[in-house]
Amino acid sequence: MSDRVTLATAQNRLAILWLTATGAIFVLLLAQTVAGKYGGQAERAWAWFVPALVPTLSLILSSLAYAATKRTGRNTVEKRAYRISFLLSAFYLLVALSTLLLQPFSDLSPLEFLSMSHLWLGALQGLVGVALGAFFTSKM
Amino acid sequence: MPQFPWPPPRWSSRAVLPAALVIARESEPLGPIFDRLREALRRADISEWSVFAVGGEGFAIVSRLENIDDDGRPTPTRWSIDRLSARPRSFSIPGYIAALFNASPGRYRVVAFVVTAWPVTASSSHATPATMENLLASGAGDLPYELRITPLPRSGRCEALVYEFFRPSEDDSPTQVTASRLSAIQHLAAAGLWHAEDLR
Repeated sequence: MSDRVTLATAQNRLAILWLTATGAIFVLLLAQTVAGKYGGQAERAWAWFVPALVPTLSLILSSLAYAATKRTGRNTVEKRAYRISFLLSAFYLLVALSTLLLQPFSDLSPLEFLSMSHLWLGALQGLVGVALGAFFTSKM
Repeated sequence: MPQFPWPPPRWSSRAVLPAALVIARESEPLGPIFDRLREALRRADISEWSVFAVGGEGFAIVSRLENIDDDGRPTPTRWSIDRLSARPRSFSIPGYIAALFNASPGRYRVVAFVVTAWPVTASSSHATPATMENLLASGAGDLPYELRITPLPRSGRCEALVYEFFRPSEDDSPTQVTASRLSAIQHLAAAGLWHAEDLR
């Protein structure tokens, strides 16, 4: 059994994970905005969403767009590195989604809770960025 | 004796109380009028209020800021003005879904009774919950003897000024409702101060 996976496969799976989870968080935040959860301060809720998810997703999509115009070889990456990146991404996205889902249990107001979530999301985001960088910024 | 700010801050709704409700007769001393208002406050379970002089021949009572529902009735967490007051105490799926998507608005009220012969006109400034709480803290706890024995001038009456505040969500600050959906009479009845029929 091979201990390597093709770079294209790893990128595609990571992209699907990020697109699906970010899409779910986007839809949830949109529904909350439409329902009036954030009152007259919806822009502050979206100001949480953008830095937490958009930079990484932009990196992934721009890398995929670049790869689409190039003839790619059969580059492979270590399966262990891919798994770590995938699990780290999944954990980060789960925590981001949970931030919205757990807020009703908090004593803080919605925006105070989102603001405080930068404490844990910021730390994780750095690790995720490093892990994904190997897949999306390395020379293909 | 601290003076009530004059002219008072702009109110959300106002009513002149029926003559016999708190003023028994012409030129009645302020003391018994004050006692009737205090009895109404006690009936409504409003134990915290402050009294101010209005000039030398009148007085005003300001009640504590209370949390009310859309119909003007006090909420179960009447005196809790923090944003947690609207949060359900027990978990349920429908309650969770509602909390996940909906804002927790808050509605608040302060009632000021002004007994005076002066014409009551509003100032250009709006009230805020903070200014009303500061006002409550700066008032006296009772009417001094000199004012109690002072007769109310002939054109004297009791006006109820209702200051209503609304906060659309937990993250918004309460702002004054400039035109309340409820009349002052509805507010006074919903607060439990008097029966609605007594106020007409």
